[in-house]
Amino acid sequence: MGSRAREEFAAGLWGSLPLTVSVAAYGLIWGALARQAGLWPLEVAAMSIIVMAGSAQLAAVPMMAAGAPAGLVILTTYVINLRHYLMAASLAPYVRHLPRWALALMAYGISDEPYALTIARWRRHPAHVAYFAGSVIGIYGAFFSSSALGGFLGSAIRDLERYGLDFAFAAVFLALLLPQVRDRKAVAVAIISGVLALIFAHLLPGKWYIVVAGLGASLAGALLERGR
Amino acid sequence: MRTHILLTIVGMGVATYLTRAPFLLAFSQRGLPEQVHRILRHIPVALLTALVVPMLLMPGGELSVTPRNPYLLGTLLTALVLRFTQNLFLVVFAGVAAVALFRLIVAL
Repeated sequence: MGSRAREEFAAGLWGSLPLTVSVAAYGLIWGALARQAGLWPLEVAAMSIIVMAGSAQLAAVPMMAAGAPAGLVILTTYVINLRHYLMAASLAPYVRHLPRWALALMAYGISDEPYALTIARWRRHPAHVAYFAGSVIGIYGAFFSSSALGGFLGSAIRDLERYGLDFAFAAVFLALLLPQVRDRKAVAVAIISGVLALIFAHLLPGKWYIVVAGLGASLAGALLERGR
Repeated sequence: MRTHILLTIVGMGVATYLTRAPFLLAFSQRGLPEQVHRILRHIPVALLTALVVPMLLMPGGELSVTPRNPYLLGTLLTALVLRFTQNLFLVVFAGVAAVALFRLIVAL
């Protein structure tokens, strides 16, 4: 690993740190819930390392506990994670030079937090995949270790809200989003996306609103560009 | 580990990977039409906004744009601190502390 790669990896890891406390708290709770729902500790750990998608795992556990057919659990997982398509498409132009095997490996790391951290960085600094890798190791490391621990302990930590930790995710997304809303076009895209998200969060089940608002506002932004 | 559980987990893993890999491979090809780039450029702002706005305005799933929603205060403070520093630790700490403090005061 070259010195630039090492620096970028460290920066990604460092960047993920403000989120690790909250990610670990959610991991602990999810692990405990999964255990209470009847999964064995090893199964809890296996799901975290194989799936590595918090909200889908949160939805899957009660379904599995209720004896839902595997196909339905898998389909629900797929639908909840559809937003990854948009994240992958938006990261892709920055990693053109990478060989296919590296892209196939990198894909496993795409999820909300590493995406938000990495895209904010890459839009300002020359992109280096090591930054993404560092943020993935930080976030996934926190989620895997805490959910495995939660699975072994089996008793949930409650009162996450009392410490305001639930707000940490929103704070990080805000801190990464706001500096990117620099010109009028970006303001328009943000407003359109926010309105669409609120509307479709009421109309559609699950996480569909993220897909609809994210795609809808991006298309609107492209149309605005063509208009001038 | 029980086989049927493991199979479900592996299926979930495959399904999730299928949402991650195809577009990363497809859109990293050279020579994409300019229209595609125009759309891709706006995804970061569109997607991050779509993630965060319902988080802030619909805590617990219901629209809440009143002073009783602690996230609104958290948002204000986060944006304010962001004007002075881009340090994520400070920004997150300020927002989290504001929300925790607000809940503490309301509970009194």
